[in-house]
Amino acid sequence: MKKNKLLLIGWDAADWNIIWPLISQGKMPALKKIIENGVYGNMSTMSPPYSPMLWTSVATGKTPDKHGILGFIEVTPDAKSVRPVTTTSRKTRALWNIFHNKGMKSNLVGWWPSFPVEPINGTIISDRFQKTHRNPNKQTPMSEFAIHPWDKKDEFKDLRMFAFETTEAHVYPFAPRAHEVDQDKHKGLSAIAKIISENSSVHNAATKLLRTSEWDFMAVYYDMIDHFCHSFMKYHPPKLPGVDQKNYDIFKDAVTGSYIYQDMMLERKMNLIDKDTTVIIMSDHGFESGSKRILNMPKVQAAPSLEHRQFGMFVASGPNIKKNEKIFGMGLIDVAPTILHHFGLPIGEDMDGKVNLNIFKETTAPQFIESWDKEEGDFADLDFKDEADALSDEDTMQQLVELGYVEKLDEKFEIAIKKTRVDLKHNLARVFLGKKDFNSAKIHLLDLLKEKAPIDLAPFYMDLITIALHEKEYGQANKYLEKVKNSGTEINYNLMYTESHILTEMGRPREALKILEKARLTDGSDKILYNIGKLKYQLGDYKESVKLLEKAIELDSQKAIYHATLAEVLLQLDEYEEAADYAMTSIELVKYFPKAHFLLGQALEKLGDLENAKLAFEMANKLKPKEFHKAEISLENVIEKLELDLKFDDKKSNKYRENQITIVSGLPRSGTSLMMQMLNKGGMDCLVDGKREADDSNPKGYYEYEPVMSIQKDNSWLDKAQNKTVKIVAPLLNKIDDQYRYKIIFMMRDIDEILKSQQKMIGRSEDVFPVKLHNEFQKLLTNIEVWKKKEPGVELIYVNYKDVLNHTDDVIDKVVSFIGKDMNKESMKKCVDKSLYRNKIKK
Amino acid sequence: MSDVKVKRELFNPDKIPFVGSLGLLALGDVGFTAWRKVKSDHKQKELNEKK
Repeated sequence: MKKNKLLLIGWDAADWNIIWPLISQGKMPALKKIIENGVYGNMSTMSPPYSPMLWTSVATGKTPDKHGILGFIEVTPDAKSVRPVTTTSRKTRALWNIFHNKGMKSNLVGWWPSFPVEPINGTIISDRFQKTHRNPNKQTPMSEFAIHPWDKKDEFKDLRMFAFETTEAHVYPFAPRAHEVDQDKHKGLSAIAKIISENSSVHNAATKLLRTSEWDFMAVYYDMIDHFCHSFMKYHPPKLPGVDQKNYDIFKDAVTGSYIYQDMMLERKMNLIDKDTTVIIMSDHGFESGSKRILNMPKVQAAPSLEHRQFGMFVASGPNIKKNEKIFGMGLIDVAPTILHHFGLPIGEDMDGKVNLNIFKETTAPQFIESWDKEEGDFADLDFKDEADALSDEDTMQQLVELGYVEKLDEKFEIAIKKTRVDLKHNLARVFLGKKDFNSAKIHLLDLLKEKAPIDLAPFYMDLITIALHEKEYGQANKYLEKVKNSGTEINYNLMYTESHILTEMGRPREALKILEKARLTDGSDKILYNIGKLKYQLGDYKESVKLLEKAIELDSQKAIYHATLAEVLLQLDEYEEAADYAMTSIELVKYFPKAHFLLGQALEKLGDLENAKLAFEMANKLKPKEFHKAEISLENVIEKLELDLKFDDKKSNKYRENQITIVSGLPRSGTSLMMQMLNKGGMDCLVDGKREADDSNPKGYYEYEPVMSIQKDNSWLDKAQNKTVKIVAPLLNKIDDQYRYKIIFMMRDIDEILKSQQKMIGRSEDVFPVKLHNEFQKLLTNIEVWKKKEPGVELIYVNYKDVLNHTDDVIDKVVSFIGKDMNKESMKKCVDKSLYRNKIKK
Repeated sequence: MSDVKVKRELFNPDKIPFVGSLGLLALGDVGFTAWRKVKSDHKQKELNEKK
């Protein structure tokens, strides 16, 4: 039996807000058991939250601009029609391609999209397998591109359940009063039948493979929860005003029913795997189940995705997975890198996600390669001679239309094709917006503005407002706002927020506040409270701001930005502990949130926890290296504070080593030439070439060897330095060849004194203090200390320049015993001339 | 779902109702295939009785 297997189970739209109550009622025992034996946490989704894009990000570790799946549908290659999205649109390798190359076996069931199938080592039951006609009189032949290998079709063809096979025994658990439904008026029962049958088909194929095949990696995707939520979340308790009482009574258990059935299927799968198999269960986004549920869907592209919540769920258990621990910061793009790491495979540097090491009991450092796409060899890449008809699927298109993800196709195909192209391009622009790549987003959006009717330009203008505000082009933002107002769009935008946002960014917060205060009379949402709270903060009314932000968090505790803003306000009120708490919560919700890490760093610095403040600033800096100067400077400050406590310890044996190389090092102007002279007079042979002559700055000579300056290119001359002494300045120390043993005498001198001496030497004013250089020197000294510890051939002692002058005998004793040879101490002592100590800092 | 209990009981091929159940479907291919067989037998029996 294979070891180290991993089973990935996708539950589209599964949300903790529904799961936790069901677990506490004992209705999801299989998931509960896995949580108790593993880790659990939020799964952060991406924008726009369209499932085919998201599940492809899960499988590739890349954002949609890189993987190419940009929506629910695609234009056929002959440009004559549109069809549900297929694998042909994916332009990067997925996990199963990588595993194929590594000789591993994968099973894939129902993954969206996985049609047409790729010729991998293993089995693919694609996302078209389960799609069948509702009409019992119509045949649904299986496409030869729906199953790989095709010769397995006979094993699976009878495992498809048809919607018309669904009985009352299947439906009643979801709708106990199903018999009261007037099926001419409400399509609920027919939707339930279709969802149950399709997901059961997927489950049948999955259990068949679990029972009968060998595999290393298996992924199964179910859309049941998502489809139940889109059809029945409006009937989920508590009843919203405006929902029909009769329908509510009939369908109120439908959503929870889908979770329970999913758990029953999970239980079966768990019974079919061994205890050494690692299991991941995850969703791509959550689903609004409270007061934010939408009863009347607005007319916008892929409107149902507006009901998607930012956080889905993530659960994992297995031999190397921590137990009963909550984990933070998991994102969809992290799943593929984390799975590759589980299998000991390197991560592509072109992947957007990171390995989430927090889930593992025992961790090793992730390995990297440039890109899996650039690797040569057999990856079972799709080599598909596209025939538009072969991949078209009217039934699936119809289902997407019914779910509201896709508009009813225009009878004129050219319009449908045009709309699809526009939607996909707009999705790509939104992906760039989500990645804060405003330039790329802008290029696509400006291009989209050239579109003519019936294309609605308002959504493009709305996105351009966001970009204009980011670029501080306020006049442009206002122009775009006017365009939206005059566009005649059918979309009901709440432009009051946009208007107040523009005014805020323009530095007119009082006017912005007026607009929002007026709106608050009829709108008590968390969004308006947050925006007013933020404006109060800008206007310096911190206490009122805290109250409003706390209320916003009460209404929606899952918004990372609310917690981060409250942390920011609390910092102003010197409430550092509370600020740290809110910043932490914000990071728990969204790991890739540089500002929250920065705020946490600020709070921790104030609380005196410098080590953790440093980590927080480092993270903020890492996540936003080009723009986050504040985090960069804060990091430098904390490092400086930490360095005040840095101990420079000697690493020495005091034993002479055959052919050892003695090095005198330090920052330039730290007394290295003096030490060289002392060693020379003491009897050490020095490797010098005398090319740099004595001058006013070093009247007794520099004791340098020219090839040292190019040591990074050529260090072969080091063999000449054996049993001799050579001067190598600190920045070049780490270029030495590790085949020799070294005794390094590292000269230390007050950095401010060094800088003054250097300024004087190069003819610059000593009154100008080079701050950047000072910080660089501090960093260099820290690096030397770290480097010294990890180099086995290096022994190093620190010698303070001041001690050379004031405690000469002690220094000579220390140096001589370090070198391990008899030396002429008297001659060494005569080298010290206190009159040359000219740049002492007046404290 | 709260009003109707879903059985998570062990699979018993001798006690399969011809209308099926969610519990059977949750068993995957084994439960589904067994149910289809019972359903088909039941249908055949009905046809035979009509004849």
